[in-house]
Amino acid sequence: MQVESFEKVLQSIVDNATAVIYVKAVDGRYLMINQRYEDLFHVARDEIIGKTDYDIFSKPQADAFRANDERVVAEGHPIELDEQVFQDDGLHEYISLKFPLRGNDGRVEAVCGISTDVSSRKQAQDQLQRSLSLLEATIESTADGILVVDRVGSIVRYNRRFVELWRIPDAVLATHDDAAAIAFVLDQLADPEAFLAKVRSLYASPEASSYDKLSFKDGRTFERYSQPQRLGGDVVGRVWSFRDVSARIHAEQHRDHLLADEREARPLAEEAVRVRDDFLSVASHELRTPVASLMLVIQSLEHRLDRFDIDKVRWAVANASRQVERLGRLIDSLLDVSRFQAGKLELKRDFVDLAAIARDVVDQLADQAVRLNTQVTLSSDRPVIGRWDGFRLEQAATNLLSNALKFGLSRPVAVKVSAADGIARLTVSDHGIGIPEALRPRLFQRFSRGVSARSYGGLGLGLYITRLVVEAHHGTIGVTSEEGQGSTFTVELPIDMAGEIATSP
Amino acid sequence: MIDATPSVCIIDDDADIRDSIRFALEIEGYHLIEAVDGEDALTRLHSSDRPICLILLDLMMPGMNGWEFRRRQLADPELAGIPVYLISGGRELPHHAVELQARGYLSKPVALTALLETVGQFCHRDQQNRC
Repeated sequence: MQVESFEKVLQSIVDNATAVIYVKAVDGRYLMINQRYEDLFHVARDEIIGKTDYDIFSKPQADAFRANDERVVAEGHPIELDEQVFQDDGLHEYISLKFPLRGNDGRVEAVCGISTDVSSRKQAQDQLQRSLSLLEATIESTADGILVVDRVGSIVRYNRRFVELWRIPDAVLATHDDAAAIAFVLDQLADPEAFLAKVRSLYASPEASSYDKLSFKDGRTFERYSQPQRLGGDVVGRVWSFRDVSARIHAEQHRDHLLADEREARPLAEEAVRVRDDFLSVASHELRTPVASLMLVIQSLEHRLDRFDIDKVRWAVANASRQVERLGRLIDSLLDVSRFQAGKLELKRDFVDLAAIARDVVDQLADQAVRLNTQVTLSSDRPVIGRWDGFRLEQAATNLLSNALKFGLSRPVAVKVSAADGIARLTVSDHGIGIPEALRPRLFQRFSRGVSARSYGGLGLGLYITRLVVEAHHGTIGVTSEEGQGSTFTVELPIDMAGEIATSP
Repeated sequence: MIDATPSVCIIDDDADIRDSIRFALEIEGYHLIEAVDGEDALTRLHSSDRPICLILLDLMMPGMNGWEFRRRQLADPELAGIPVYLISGGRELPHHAVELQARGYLSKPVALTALLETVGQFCHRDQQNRC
């Protein structure tokens, strides 16, 4: 190739380069520019010869180029530089390689520059930086612990939350070895084998996503998610994320317990409400009966006073008096119940004779026995004296005898008082309807009744009050019964005094 | 002359209630039959030599209660036609009155005027015995 044509070839290469290429003398005057230069800065190569950067660019830019050129001359070797140039469409970033051109004597005679526009590459890099920063901030601000592992099992990335959740020392993570990290965490898990098996199966199938729950020995629970990390179409690793759901699980368990407790308590509460409603209905019936009787008698007296003879009036007054007593007794019972419920059964102990109490009670209920055509026998051969609350024992004995009359089917009723081995005993036996076995355990409970309220009235408090009275005396009450044959109630009270008193004839 | 003045029948286990109704009605000239429960009532109604103009029926009774009595009464052609008034208490009384096909009900405690008005609707007084 001829020298002349070689120059043409070189000129052609230089003109077709995408870089801006130029040669300036050491004093800054242009010796040569390429086609790219002409196009970008709107200047012809013939015109620029002999001109400097100060003729083409603004002074600050020209100063910057000049300084770089002088540096190349001074240092005498190629230098790579970042340079900025204003073009028609704004500021462009260039990487310029500038190198000295020497004459035959070896002195630097000119500076050649090859400047490549890297504006779009720079923008892409900035964009990438912003994306990375966003990713970084997101990974660190999530409440989940995140671990990224590559396909050969090296830890690529993890966040602080991951370290906190798993309590992995920095030294272990510094190895970037996932196996080491797994070995460290296994000990914390309730079922390490299952976890390990799952991890192995996931590493064996890179495409798989999975979800699991991990239970810890210390009671914590994590949810684990695992997704493959893809680059283009290829799986390059795996992202693990862990969420501590212990608080939620505990709350759920707590809620389940509460629900179970509530389910358990509901029938009891419903039963209590039912019992109370039944009691209120029965109590109102019981209170209504004497009031009804009283009202008719009084209103009749009022209405026809002039017509009644004195015997009828006497009868009416006696009847009214009886109803008032009956009401009084009912009210006492109701007050007793609320008193007992408040835990206020205070005994007024004094020396009392249980046999005398039984006799009084039999006398008091004699009228009722006659009305019911029932024969009542009392057997007590001697006084049985103890330090008891006479009023309360009378109440207990009255309840037992009333029941015997009420449920006794007009058959004979026996009341017995005896004492032996420091124990006083009161028994009341009837031969009436008896108590079905199924009802016996509840018999001494509040509002309990051995029979349907549709058949027998009564508050359902008698045996309950009796039991409380007996127990307050540290005594016991029991029943034997056979349906259709009758019942026997036995009260036993400790005689907590200096023995029995000598029998009087 | 046979006394054919009809009787009011009161069925209640509570003697005080029966006594007070007797006290209130006899002075007005009514004749009364008392029964302590359903079974007692069935016997007395059958053996009565007077017609029965009205039954006052309590519901809660030992022995045969009011429900069973009413069932037996309705099944008995001789007694089925006798009007029945319930005399009891509780919020369900109107319900029971419908359930038992009663002519009405008197809620305890019963005012004398209400009792006399009810009985007066169904029964004649005994003119001879009337004071």
